[in-house]
Amino acid sequence: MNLTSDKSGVPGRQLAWLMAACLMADQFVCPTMQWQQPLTAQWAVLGFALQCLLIYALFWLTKNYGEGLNQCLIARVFLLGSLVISLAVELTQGQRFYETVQSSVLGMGSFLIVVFAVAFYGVYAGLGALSRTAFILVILSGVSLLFLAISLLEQLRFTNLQPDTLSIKPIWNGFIHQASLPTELLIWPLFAAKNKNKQGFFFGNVVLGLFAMGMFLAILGEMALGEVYFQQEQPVFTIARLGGISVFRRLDALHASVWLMLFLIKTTVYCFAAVQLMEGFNWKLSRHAPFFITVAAVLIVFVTQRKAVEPWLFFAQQAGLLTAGVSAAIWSAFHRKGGCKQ
Amino acid sequence: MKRWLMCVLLGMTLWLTGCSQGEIGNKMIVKAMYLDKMHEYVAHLVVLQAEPSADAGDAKEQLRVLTGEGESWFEALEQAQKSCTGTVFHGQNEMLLIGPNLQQEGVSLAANFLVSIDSGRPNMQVWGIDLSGQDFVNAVLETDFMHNLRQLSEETQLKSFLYQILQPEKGFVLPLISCPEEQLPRTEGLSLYIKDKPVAHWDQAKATLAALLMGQSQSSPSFELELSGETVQIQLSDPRFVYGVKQEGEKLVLDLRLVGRISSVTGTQGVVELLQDDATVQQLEQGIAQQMDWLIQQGFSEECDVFSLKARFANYSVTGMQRMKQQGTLFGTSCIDFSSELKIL
Repeated sequence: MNLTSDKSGVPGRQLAWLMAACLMADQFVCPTMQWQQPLTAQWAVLGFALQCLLIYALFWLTKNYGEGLNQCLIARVFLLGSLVISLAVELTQGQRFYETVQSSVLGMGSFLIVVFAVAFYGVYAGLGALSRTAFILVILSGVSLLFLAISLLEQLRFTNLQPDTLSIKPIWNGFIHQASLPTELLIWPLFAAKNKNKQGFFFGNVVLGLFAMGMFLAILGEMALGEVYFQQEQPVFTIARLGGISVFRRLDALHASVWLMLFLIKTTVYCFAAVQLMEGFNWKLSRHAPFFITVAAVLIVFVTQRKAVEPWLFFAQQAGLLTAGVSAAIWSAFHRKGGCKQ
Repeated sequence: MKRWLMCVLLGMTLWLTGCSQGEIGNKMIVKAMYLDKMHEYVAHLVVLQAEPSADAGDAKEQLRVLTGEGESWFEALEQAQKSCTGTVFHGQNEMLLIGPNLQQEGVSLAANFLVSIDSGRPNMQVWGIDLSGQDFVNAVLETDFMHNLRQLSEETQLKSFLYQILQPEKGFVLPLISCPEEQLPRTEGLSLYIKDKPVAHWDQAKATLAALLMGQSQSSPSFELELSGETVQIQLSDPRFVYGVKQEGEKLVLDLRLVGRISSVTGTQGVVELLQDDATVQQLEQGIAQQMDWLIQQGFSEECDVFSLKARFANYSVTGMQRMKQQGTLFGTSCIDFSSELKIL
């Protein structure tokens, strides 16, 4: 039995928890594909608002492309390529974050083995198990945010905020520095397949929650650290190290463990999507072969760009997503037309 | 997945906990860090070496100092860490002491380096100390110095944390500790830094008012003031600043008011009796106003805004603040109206 034997798709609520966990991971484990950060919370929040609006608008275009992504060869190939690049970048981000938060770390090989072992288990446990785990992690992340805010109460200063006169250019700059097509935009219709019940509602809630979280973190960080917040390599982890509750000073260790689990589930979801796409090629491989082929491809990309994410990788990933989306759109339009004719 | 395989996998996660890397008895827990710069960069790590035991009565702890020198902070810290066989653990390190030479230049650079690595936690308290490296080591090993230092850091009003001295372009303050011979360490005011260089020294009175302006203060701060040619000790109760911005034509003016109560005024002859409308109270308020003038002249300029006063103007009107900044009328005391309303307790 392969992953795609069940064609009905994942219910919207389960998918929402899964996508929320994946999108939240980038808020905590600082993305490496954004090579320039906005300077103040005001522009970061306004730019992020534009980004969220864009994602929600694009969702309405892509939500019916599930069948196209599964059936159209070009879409499948390009989405698979984008997923491999995304996985490699996620591994780089996660490994860099792991080295920052831990004083004694596993070697690179051991780290990769652990990550792929978790991914292997998650992929073959199924999307239902993954979404239940994602639900728990999203709740834990919310608790982590609450404790983060409480632990920083002594350090927060309204005078650290950097208000500025509203104008279009800095908002646009803030948007450009954060704008990207998230891989989740195409993973959602891929997993949802024929299950179209209230997709817009659930995805809207995910985007709204993500924006609220991004805004909260930006304001919290700037109130604690001032202008220096956005210059940190791992801004959220830096403020986590800053705070404490009563005699408890090392709360950053607890936060980091939750955030690392978010990273693990995101990696697992990407692996699942890649394996599902590969099974669509019908190459008559053994049950686990698609997973190991994915791992091999990811490792090749990972090793070639280790420690520094080149801009070309970002553009390749974005181009792949765009091509997959457009191909799926054309396929869907063509088959809808053909369906109407019949 | 077969249950036995799941049990094996779960069991394997036990070796990922890091416990095998070293026992707690082998960990050297850093309690304080001293940095200075002579011909080379010098780092002294004050570590606690524990000898744990199942019998609490047999458990021991011992202070040691690990020393490292190098051509860079990285080398100095690495050498210090390698000078012992145990594993150095920085998670409990809450104090950074800056030696006299490093206080002259490079404090912010050192702070930025520490934050970027595991050795520096952003919430470490930072102090300037007047002991050389060797004197510091001797004091730690031969006396109760660390205990006295810890008590002093808990009692003192103004604290400076590592994350607050990362931006030299905004200016920062460094609380100073003086360690006279055969006496307990005591606070010695603040150093004001602009562009990572000390530009002014604020005595205890200015340091207390600076702590109030920065939002850090105890409920009963005390400081010395000149009163009719005599130095008196004034103690305030629940002092706080009240901020208000008003518009005067095109100019914004920050109304800065100190409110609170005077608990006591003690001179060389004993406690000074105060009445509500006494001229003494007015003289005290004038003395405070003079200190505030100094603080604002030095601490609120184009290159320095340690009291975040610019944000007060910006919260009222960003456009107005930016206009005044362009016109050069924003900084200094010209747009700040200080007054105090101190009542007798």
